[in-house]
Amino acid sequence: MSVKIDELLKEALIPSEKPDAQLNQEILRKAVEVNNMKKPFFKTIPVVATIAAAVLATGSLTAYGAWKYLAIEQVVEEIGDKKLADAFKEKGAVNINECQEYGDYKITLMGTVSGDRLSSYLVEDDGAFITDRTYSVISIEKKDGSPMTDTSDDNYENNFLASPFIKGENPAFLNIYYMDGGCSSFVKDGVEYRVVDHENIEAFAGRGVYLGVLGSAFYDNNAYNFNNETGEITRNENYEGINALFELPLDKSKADEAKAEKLLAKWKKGDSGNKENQENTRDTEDKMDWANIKENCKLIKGSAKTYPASQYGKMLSYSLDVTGNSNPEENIWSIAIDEYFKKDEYGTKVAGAASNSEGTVYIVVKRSQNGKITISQYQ
Amino acid sequence: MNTTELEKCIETYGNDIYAFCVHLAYSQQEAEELYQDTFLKAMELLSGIEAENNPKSYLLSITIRLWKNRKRKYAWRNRIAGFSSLEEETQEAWDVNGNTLEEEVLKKEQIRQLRQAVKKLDYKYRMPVYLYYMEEIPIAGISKILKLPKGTVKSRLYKAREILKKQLAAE
Repeated sequence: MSVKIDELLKEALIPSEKPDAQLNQEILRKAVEVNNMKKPFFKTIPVVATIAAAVLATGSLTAYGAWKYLAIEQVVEEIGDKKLADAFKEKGAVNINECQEYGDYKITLMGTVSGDRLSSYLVEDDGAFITDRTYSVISIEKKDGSPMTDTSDDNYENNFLASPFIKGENPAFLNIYYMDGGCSSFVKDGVEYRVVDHENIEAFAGRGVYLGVLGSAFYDNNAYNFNNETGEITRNENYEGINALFELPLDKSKADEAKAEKLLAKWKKGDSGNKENQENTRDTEDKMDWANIKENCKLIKGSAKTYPASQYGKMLSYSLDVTGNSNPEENIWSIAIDEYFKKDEYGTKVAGAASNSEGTVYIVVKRSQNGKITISQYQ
Repeated sequence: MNTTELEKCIETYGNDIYAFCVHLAYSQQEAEELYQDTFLKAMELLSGIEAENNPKSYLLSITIRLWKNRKRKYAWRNRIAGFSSLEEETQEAWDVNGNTLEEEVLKKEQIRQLRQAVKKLDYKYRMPVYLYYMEEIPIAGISKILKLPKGTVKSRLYKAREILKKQLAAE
């Protein structure tokens, strides 16, 4: 069947649609227009100069710092993660504030924190919740003081990549893409802030861990040198783009070689959705059992959706908009009831959970004796 | 990129990008706009496309980014209207090969159902399916475009196939 579905998909999705020649001509016409447009010349007074003037006038460097930059917990609050902001105030968090300048940019590693369930948001990968994570906050600004393009601007281009690297592992083959990584970013007062998160890497504290910031959306093999013999990772000094490299000062007491090896094996296998994760998910879901939810949570009014018995064995679409995701399509969950109830099984079970800054919403599926299926949300 | 280079780029990758846009978008008009914007944006990002070993992957990643932006601006209303007209048009593109009429009709119906089922997949499953089966981008390339670990791409493709198999069996 898998061969058949493979073949059918290939056949079904052969790109058969072709653009009209007129459409292509239209693109070329617009391209000529764009090329011919002369950009207006604006003489900008660099923000740095304005700041210098302000500093001279007030004589207060502190005031300048406070005006221009957000504190690390403010950055995290700005992305709506109060829980993580609190974690950055705790003892285990490390404030770094190390700056590096390359090309037109100044990049600052502000700080880092690691731990289990530090964030209000659960990271899900193929059904598994990855709760034990490391978070680092960086800021990127232009050296000439001109503002970074706002992330909500149509012209915003995601041209940076921040990724942890592990000493002894070639960053080309082990970077944030393999570590269930993610990033939240925004621009405030012309400075771009990024909260980078991925699986907890404290276990590697004994080996040495770096945080690289590249001036491209993807990892670039030319940005860093990897010494096969020593395992050292260094910046390629001849690289023309941005290739900042910070050492992440992780707590050495958290070094755990056995855990590190296990993580490496998982990442290298490239199978973050493997059985182990699925078992973890099942564990998490078992903990959120129906009896517990029934006792501690309330049904969200209007969330219940009923499906006829004939829908058993099919994929049911259920809309869940709790994460503030503006994309309605990404809020649609596909739920197969036969994954939760065998043919002759009835009852109520928890199908999953989603979190936002206000808490966790649980998806509950119920199969009645008459076969009727109800999906609802509890909080 | 000058216009001659842009023309060459459209000539080489235009069909692939256009088909991708058609499958992403909810209407013909939206697909055409997305296609147009992809190449105009690529022209702006001259250095990016030159530095990339795989311009097609680079163009597809631009399409995805633009599409995500557009979706925020477009209301749901485009969806239902767009679906039927696109389905009708694309169905006509299927050729009849040497099979018997009955086999051909059955297969055509199966393919129609499969295309519809792919359209209804969650975004996270649908995107790897289009990139893998329609655009023939390898797993590593999809991983770069979607900024996901390779393992996740593999497992999403696997899960997508499982969902599609179930749906086809249920039809």
